[in-house]
Amino acid sequence: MKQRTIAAACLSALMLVGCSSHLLFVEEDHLGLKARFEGNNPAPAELSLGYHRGIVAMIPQQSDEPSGSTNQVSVTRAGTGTNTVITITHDPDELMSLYTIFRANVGLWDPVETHHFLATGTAASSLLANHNELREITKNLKGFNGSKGGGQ
Amino acid sequence: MKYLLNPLRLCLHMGLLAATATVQGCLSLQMTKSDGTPQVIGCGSTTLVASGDGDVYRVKAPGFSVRSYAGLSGLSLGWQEVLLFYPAHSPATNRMRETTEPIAYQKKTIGMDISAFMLAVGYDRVFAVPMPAAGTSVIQFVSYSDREPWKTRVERKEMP
Repeated sequence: MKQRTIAAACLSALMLVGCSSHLLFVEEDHLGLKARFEGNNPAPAELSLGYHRGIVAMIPQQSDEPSGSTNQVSVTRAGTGTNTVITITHDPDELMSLYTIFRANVGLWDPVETHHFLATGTAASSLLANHNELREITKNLKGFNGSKGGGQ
Repeated sequence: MKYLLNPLRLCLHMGLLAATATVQGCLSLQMTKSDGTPQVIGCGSTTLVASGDGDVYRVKAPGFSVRSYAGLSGLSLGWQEVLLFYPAHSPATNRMRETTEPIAYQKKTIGMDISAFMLAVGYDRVFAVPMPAAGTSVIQFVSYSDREPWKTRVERKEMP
């Protein structure tokens, strides 16, 4: 009984450690049974049996905690004599940009081959504004021989 | 016959049977050292498979293994192989920010794998990128091939 309690406590602690982490990009393939659970719900949120492949990219937020702000942008003005300082603050709840390219060899027994590019926030916005740079990155990723699968 | 008609139970039991058969006393704990590089205590191995424009470590853990990496904690029963991608350090140019944690990983499991809110039985392969700190803009590139490990590139730049 005691051993069972210790084992359950260890497993719970392990689960809690995992809860605090989040993933930005996930590419997975699976053969067999896979069950995903959500917090406080013992029934699986997703169940797959057989072959399953998925690519998920999360759009990051400016802040982890909701701010409660209803304005997308807040502007504050502070004047000292002849100087005026204008501060523009974005809503912390606002979603950031994300751009990603993934190319990989995903065979069961094949040698691993992974090429992944990812940009978020201002980096992604700047990149998307610069077509030449974007074209260059895409071209370089497609230059790898033998890669298959993936997307952008 | 009724047993065979329940594919969920059959698959789970077959997976358990296969995983138990492969354990054969192999136990290991996967964790990171103070410098962030992986280490295995028990039955398993850690190898630096590529170094230069980024470091790639391969961790092999047969049998029952407990992982305690940031963002990759869990248990596995069977055969597990984890590739951890660390960015290149360029303190001279200050181009890349040094980090002690992997910026991406690929986990391959044959057997059973349990992690936060996930249970997998059979073959499972995941390539994942951990979420950066809130509000941080990131630009990163990972390129690795088993055939050409000397061409490996792992780069990351963070902007607040």
